[in-house]
Amino acid sequence: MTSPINIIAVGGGKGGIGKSVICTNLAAGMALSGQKVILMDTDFGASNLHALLGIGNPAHGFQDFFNDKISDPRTLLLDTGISNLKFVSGAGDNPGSANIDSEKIGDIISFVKNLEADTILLDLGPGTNYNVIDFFNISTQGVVLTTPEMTSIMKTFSFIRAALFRRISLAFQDYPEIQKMVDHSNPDNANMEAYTTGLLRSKFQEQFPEYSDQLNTLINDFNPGLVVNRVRNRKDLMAGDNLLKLVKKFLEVDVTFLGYIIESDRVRDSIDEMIPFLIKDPQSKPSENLQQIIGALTNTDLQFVKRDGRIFVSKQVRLSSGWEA
Amino acid sequence: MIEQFLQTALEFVKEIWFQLDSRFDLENTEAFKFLKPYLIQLQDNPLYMGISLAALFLVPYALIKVKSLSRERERKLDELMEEMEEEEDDYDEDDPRRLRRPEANTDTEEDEDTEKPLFDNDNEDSPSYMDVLDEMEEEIDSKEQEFELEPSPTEDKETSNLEESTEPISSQLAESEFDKDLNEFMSLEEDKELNDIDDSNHDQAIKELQEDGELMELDDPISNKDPFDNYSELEEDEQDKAIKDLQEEMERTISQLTEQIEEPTESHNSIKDLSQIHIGGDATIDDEYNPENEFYLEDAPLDTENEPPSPPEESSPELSDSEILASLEPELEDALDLESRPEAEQTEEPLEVPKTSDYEPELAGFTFEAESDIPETEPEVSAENFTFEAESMSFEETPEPEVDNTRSPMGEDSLIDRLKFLQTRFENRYQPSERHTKPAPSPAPIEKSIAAKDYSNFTEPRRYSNAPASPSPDSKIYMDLLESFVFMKDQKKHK
Repeated sequence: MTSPINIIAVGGGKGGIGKSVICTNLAAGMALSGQKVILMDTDFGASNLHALLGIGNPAHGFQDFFNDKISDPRTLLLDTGISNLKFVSGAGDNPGSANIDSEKIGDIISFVKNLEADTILLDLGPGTNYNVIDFFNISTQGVVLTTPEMTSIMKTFSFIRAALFRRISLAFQDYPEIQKMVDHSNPDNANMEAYTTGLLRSKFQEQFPEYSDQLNTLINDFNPGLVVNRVRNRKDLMAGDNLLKLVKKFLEVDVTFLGYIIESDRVRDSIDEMIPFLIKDPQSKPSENLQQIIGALTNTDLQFVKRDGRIFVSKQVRLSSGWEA
Repeated sequence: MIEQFLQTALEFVKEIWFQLDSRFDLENTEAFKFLKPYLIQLQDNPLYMGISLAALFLVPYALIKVKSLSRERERKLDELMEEMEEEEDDYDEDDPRRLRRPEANTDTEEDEDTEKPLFDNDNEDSPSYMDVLDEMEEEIDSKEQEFELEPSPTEDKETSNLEESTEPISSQLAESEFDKDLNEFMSLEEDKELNDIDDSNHDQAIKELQEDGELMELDDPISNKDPFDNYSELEEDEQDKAIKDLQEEMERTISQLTEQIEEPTESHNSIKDLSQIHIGGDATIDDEYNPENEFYLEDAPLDTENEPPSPPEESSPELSDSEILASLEPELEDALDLESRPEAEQTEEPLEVPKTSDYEPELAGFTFEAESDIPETEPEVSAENFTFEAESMSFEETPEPEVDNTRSPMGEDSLIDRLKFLQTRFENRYQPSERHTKPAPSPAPIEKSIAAKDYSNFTEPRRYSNAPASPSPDSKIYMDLLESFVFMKDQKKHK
């Protein structure tokens, strides 16, 4: 019996905060550490992971999956040139392809879950629509990304809340009254008074006390990790701490702080050169930050060293569990 | 001991050589190869070594010495040439500096000038203002004669030249300073006129006044002399009377100018401003206005041009007073009182009595500036502008009062008291009419008014800059702000 696949979804409400870059480097780092990793570009309609990896005119992508042009979904897996790392491109998306129906999303989710890999990394698109949130919710380890700007903090909070409420909504699909409280996609048929977990708990206590425990379990099991990108100083880190406080206060969710990535031109240069900065310069400061994040995600202590164009990885497995590390 | 010392010195030199050789590889250079046999000879023969060392140090020293001597000679020659040229060149008749020319001392060494800010300079400066005074002229003449005798272009000895040059230089310095102040004042007047006058009517009026002033300039210096000279001889009563007359004339000229140049309301403001700034005027300028003084109005610009040194004082009436003071100051060099401005005003006023026209032109000139300010539509703004000009004038004047302090006539006390009283009256007038409490004569109140104006101008930008100040992420304000962004107005149940 194989161990369950570790699905890591990297999301965040705001666009342009570095989700794709961080996701690519996480995948590269994990692949270099020996894991079999599949990187998926689920930003339908605005995919760009293939550009970050330097893959021009990818042979296949999710569009083929949607068009039923492929008989074996495994043909979607593209070689990235990085050992242990495969890639599923979202290139070739057409206008409107972001509005995929839920059935297609279900197919993709089942496809993801059936892949043979140690870790699958999902690069999510911006926003909080269900096509994005549903991918985030299938992850075993969700990672929310934010930047120190207040707008990004706000969006990330909204993203976490949307993901939590979507998770509760999917858990109580057969209970329309509960759906009214947690699914506000239809305002005419929604109870908008429960916009925090505290209010939701009280509503459940009043109306569905029998499901309160399940609700509490869903909330308690929801533990996304947080990465603050483009940190320039300690003040920026405080912004990430404020997000944790905000989530804890209104959603009663414990968000794990996984680490931060400093603002660096090396990251920008790596994008231009289409090489993950972890591979281009493993000993740079952003790479060190990323290694710490990978260590927190994989419960290992990783150290990447580049000599003579080859990357050597020293790996030490922590005895404690990953999330608590 | 000597051997040890030589040994250590030799080792030290060797070390230096080795270091240089190791770093720059001197032994392999062509120059060293060429010099090597000679160096060996020098090393062997102590005589050659001594000669070479002497040449090494003495030759550059000799060159420097020769250069310095030649430079010194050239400088002296240039000074002599300049002196000759200055003596040959006569000042323009219009130039008030012509009056001060008789002193014409040759040397012009700025360095020495700074070293000699002696009383002689002050005396000379003040006489420049007060050429009219006979006593001063006599004193100056005596001094000039002394200077002329001393500075006579002697090319004998350097020391003698230096000594002689110092005194003439001091005299020239005084002149140069005066000229500098004069030029500054002239430029300031021109700038003010250009900047302040916006309306075409004002420009025309100003031009007319300027033309008149130019015509009068030639005659003014001469005319001023006589009354000023007699001033010191006047009794207190006569001086007071002279002051009164002068003030009346000033007021008349001001009122006339205001009428000509501006509308009645604006002229009132400007006049009030002037009165505020100036100390010497009597109670109300507007009340005492007489249409007869058109003649004075014409004269006014002439005075301003003719007496550029006086303008440094604050307002137009003050400026006229200051000029009068300046003229009186040379006479009163020995006086002790510190309040230079009031004294000056008093002294000037009695002087004006004999020739009010002279004073009036000055006043008109200043009033002219004030009016240039007046043209601005808003009364308050015009007042501020005027004060600003007055301030600039006061800055220029500040040096003059210092000079005035040195001299004071016997009956100055009474005049000073009277001037103080008049000043207080002006201040009282100024307060109700204008905004703030403090009068113009002292620079401090003017500064305050200007500062207030600046604040009013910059309030908005500052507010704008302060408003967007982002709260610190570790502050509660940041969290509150974040919550306000996340939740809508009616979503406050969570609190």
